[in-house]
Amino acid sequence: MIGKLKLAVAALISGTVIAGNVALATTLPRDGDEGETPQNLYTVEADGSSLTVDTKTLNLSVTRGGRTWYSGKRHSEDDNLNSLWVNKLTDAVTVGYKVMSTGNTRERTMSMLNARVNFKEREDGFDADINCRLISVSFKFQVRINGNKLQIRIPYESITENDPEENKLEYLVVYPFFDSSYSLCDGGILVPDGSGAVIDLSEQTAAKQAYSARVYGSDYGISASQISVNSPQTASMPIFATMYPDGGTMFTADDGAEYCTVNASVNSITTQYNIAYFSWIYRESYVKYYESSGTDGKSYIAFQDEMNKFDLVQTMTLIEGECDVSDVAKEYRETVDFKEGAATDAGLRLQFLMAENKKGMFGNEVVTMTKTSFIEQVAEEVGAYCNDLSVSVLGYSSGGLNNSYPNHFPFDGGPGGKKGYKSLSQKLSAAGVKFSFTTDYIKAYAGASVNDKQLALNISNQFATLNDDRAGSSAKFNLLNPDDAAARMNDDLKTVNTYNAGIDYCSIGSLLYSGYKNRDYDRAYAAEKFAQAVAASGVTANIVKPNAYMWSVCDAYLEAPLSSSGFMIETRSVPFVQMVVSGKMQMYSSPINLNYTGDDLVLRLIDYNVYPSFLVTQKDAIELYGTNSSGVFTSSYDIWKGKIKDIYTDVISVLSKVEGCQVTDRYEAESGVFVTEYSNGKCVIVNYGSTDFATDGITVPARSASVK
Amino acid sequence: MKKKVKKLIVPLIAALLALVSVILFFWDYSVPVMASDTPFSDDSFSVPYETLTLGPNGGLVPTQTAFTPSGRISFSSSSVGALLGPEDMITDADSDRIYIADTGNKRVIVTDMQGEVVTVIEEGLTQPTGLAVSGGNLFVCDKGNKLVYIYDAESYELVRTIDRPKNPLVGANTPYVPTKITVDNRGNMYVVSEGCVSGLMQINAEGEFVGYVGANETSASFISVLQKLFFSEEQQNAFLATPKSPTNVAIDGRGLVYTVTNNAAGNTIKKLNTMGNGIMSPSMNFADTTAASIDKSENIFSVQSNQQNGSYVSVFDSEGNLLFRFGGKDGYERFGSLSNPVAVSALDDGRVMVLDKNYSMVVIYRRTDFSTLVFNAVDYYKDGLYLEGEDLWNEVLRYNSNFILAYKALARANMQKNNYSTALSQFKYAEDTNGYSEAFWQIRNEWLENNLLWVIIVVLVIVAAVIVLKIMNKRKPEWFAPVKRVFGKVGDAHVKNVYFFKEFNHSKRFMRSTQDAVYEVKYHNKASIWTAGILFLWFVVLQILGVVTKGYLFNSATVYNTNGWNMVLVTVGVMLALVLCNYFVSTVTDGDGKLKHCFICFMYALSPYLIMALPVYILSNVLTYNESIIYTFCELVMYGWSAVCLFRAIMELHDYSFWKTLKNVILTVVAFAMALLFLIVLYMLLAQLFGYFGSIFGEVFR
Repeated sequence: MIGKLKLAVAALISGTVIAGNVALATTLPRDGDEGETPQNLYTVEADGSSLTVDTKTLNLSVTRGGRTWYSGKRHSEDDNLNSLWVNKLTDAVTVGYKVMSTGNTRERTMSMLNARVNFKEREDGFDADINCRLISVSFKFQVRINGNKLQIRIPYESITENDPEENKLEYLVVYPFFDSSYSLCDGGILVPDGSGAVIDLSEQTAAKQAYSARVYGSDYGISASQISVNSPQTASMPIFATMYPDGGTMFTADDGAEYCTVNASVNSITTQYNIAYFSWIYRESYVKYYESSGTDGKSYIAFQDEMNKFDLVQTMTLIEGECDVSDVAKEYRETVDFKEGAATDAGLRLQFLMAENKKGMFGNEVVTMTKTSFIEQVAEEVGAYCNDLSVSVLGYSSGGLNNSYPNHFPFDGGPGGKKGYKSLSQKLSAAGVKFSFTTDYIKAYAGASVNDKQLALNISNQFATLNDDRAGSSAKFNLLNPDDAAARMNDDLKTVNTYNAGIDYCSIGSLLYSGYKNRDYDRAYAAEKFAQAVAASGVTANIVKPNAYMWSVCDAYLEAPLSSSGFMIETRSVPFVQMVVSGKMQMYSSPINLNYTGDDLVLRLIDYNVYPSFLVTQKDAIELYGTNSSGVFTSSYDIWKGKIKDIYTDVISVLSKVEGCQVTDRYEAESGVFVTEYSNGKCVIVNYGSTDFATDGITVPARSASVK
Repeated sequence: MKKKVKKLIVPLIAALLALVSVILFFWDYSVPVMASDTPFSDDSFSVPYETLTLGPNGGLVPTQTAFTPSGRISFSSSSVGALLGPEDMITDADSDRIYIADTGNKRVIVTDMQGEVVTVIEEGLTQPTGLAVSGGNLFVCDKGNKLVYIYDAESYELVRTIDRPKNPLVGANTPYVPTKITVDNRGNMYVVSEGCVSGLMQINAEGEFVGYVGANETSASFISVLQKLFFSEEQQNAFLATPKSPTNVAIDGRGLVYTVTNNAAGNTIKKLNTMGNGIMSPSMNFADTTAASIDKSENIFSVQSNQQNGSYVSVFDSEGNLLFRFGGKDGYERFGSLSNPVAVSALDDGRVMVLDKNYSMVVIYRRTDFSTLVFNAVDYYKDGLYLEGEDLWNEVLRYNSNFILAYKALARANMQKNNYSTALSQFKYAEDTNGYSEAFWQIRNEWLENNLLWVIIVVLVIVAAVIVLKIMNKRKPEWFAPVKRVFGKVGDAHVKNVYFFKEFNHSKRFMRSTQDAVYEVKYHNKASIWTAGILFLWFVVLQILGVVTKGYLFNSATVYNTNGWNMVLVTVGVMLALVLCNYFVSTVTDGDGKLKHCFICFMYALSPYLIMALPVYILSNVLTYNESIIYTFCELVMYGWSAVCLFRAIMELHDYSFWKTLKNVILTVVAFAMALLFLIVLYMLLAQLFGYFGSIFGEVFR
């Protein structure tokens, strides 16, 4: 009681909370505290779930199967939270808004904003009209319960700002403490970082930064960006989960995912609570240049005028019983569409760099790295031990790779020209080898011949650009408008079909941006357009690092992540993407020769069910020095052919036993030994450790893998 | 006799050219074949940095991951609590201990190699910033107390302290603020005293001051030279440049001390000999180096801390060649990335520990099999065992074709095996011009040994043939009539009188008697603007040919780092501007020359260069550094001769005295500089103008 009084005093002193709201905050139950029963409760039963909500704060709880999920529950030992955090625990919605007169962003909960809540009961949940009177922002808040799914919706159309000159909505957070826990405890938080990562809640973190990642990456229409080596991996799925021994919750962004950020913080970083939540971005700050060219560098920080148009739809799927990553994967797989008929055989991918260009004294000169006839020989050689070989060509365009995109045809004559590729496609087709062209329809080299009208303009009225700042490269790219990219894809289809080839799509599956000025479109439109264009092509579509919205049109997942980004807050990487995708399409690694990790890598490929891929050339990689591909420092097929065969053989010996199967469970049998169970009943055991592992009559030697 | 010698020159040059062509034709530029198949591995699934190594043209190129983060030591969840602003860390393999100067918490934490806390030393400490272990003692520099504390490394009892040395060399104004320390096997302490520009303080085991070692030097700038010339002694003292004080110190297994000077203009890391003088510095200087550690093979591990450009770990071999550099600006808190590294320790097992002050933790990296391969190969290279390390270097190249040091080492191995042509191409990749020169000398020597007789015979046959043909031409001219008809009767007197030939012939006159030649141009029209134009064109072409035809040893430019169009534009622009400037200057200084004559005389005055440049370029292809004097002499002759011709041409053209000509030349250069300045300003203004209209266009029509 003393603690509550302290809080009330603190809130009053802060001057930011009106008296009534403090009273609301103090009604919050604590762990082990039967306490005061909140006033104005409404309860609804639906398909085994019981939803109870405080009609004033909209603080809710759901009881199902003997477990209760709280939207915010204060821990009995916690007396250190300030008024903002206490209200975040209580209130359904936290609002971030820009005070236009000062330019500062302020974060307050609905109670702190003197919100008037007009509560309406429904049989399957409730509706609430929320009017945050202090900032004159109002919106509809709709909650539905259906079995184990609790869905929150804030329709875009319902959001009104009555005083946008003074306060502008920046972001919303809904139930940030839903299924949270306190201090060190059993359980974890799953975040969609790269392949997936788990934050173990039983370990004291050394991190000082919380996890925060924009779903599908930054909006390049708002902020300029760079391709950095080993930059953090993108959150390619709009999902995170809380997992505990007695149950868990899977959070998904069903609509508006293009505008949300996944956040997770554990004990001692911000508070002692372990929380994870989406924040939904309605506006962003950006750099506005006085001159559209931006050459003089004079700029100021501006704030998006129009709100991003999306319906906020967040679903919490309540998972009963002991919850781990495979349980979340199973739930998530149910919500995702995959392409029907995509191949799932264990394969090998060889990507050939055909030609690059290099600066000469009087213009660029083409460096031919691989002849088409050489690929024919390689395909024959590899075909002797590999039944599912995929061959992809890169840098086949006139003038070589650099400066070619988004133009792909005609062919450069050096590697073999039209005739060479025709012969290649025929021979590969006859040998049953898959053939594809590597393409990039949305990145245009700054030196490539492209009509300016096709280039995306960012919010600052400049061309949306990407710079490649990796060592040895100075490539700069402009981004194409989705419609123009789609038109180019369509134009190239005839040629692609002539060669009976598929398409490997770079960037289109992983970059998402909005366009401004006279080419006005948002990220949701771009995502939809890209997916539609790939689907309409009708050819085999292999996509590099596809975001979840591209999975429904994807035949093979290229450059699959084999880890998370390694943020300090994360305890370990997990193959969450692979667990979701397994059995639905092939997954290939990034070029192994450029990141060769020997035994460790082979084990990781087997553990994560990812097939090997190599970037190779006929000539030695030293020929590429001085080109924008000088990052390809080892690529000669002759050097790598032995290793290609060995790695493929090692991987295939295990993964061929589970090809086309889904992961049903994965656990760490003992330190460094991971067991993955598949839908055909087989178990893949990977022993990363330095001692042998024995189970059920089989022994898996140290640093090896086996299938049971 | 002179005439005969002159007549022999042409066939001799022709023979020389033929020889060069033959040499170039049979040159072996092939890349060595790489073999063997040793597997290696690393654990770079989520390495948050790119690993770079030294590549062609002195640039940094990406390479396979050399070190992966393998652990961290953080005390946030331990009983001793988190570190606060730690400043130093050392490891002691003998006692299996890690010592961390936890500066903010006024203590030294002692752990085992797994990071388990053994003890915490707090006695007397207020601001521990530097650590060393030697002879069973732990040495701690306390910046706050301005003392060096010596503890027993087993009982952790305080043994004694070292106060400010009482020695005349340590003046009253010399600061004594010990911040870092290292100790050799004899117990000599090398103390970094903050602000002490005399170098490290050497204090013997008895605590007596011995002297200063490893002082940095100041560099003379243009301004400092001017200050020395014009300032009084008092003024000079006011602007006295003081050398930077060393900021950290390290020691290798042989007891050689290394200083680290953060933000030094050059030689951030300096290896000292036993006399305390600098004997080696790494080939690449990273100014933001904060600490260094030397491993058992004397490889240098250093850390750089830079909030703007990112923090790095850079590894050099014992000769200072950069092997690896990893890190960078991350901006995220990721396992393996660094924010503010302040100490580094290279362990005997290949691991590297880095203390990060901002993260308050020790990050541990382990070698990958790739870097293990490189380090093993470097060990052979360092000891001159080139043949023994050959397989390893070949293996390194399999995994990175741009690894420059591998080419250097393999070239040395091939030199030992007398495979000079292979060594030559490898030296070229390695950009080792001395090695290239050495290999080329051997190849040329071998070739001459095998072919000298034939060369002499061919030359003699050509000379004899020319003499015979000349004689026959005089005696039986009708025999050569058909040939003359075909080749246009070159050499006949009336051909020599043909307009262009006659005018080009005037070059000879310019080279021998410039003033007469200019007089003839001015008053007898002996040369036209057209022929001068052709000479000008040849001058421009020679600039391009200089890049293309010069020998590797004497050519600083390559076709890949030269923009041909820029070169043409600059050459044309500069030459025409100089002619114009000279003309304008002469018009206001009573010069007689017309613009046309200025242009003609300028071009003709360059005749020595125009005639000699190509042969000199070609000659440079068969020379080594041993004969570089020949090349330098040739260059001196052609440039010097041209300069003299030009000076005399200006003198005669404008009818100046010597001093007036000199004044004219200086004014021409000044006018040229002013014109250049004007053009730059004009360019900037036009760029702004176009930028302005471009912006409007962009806003409206994009």
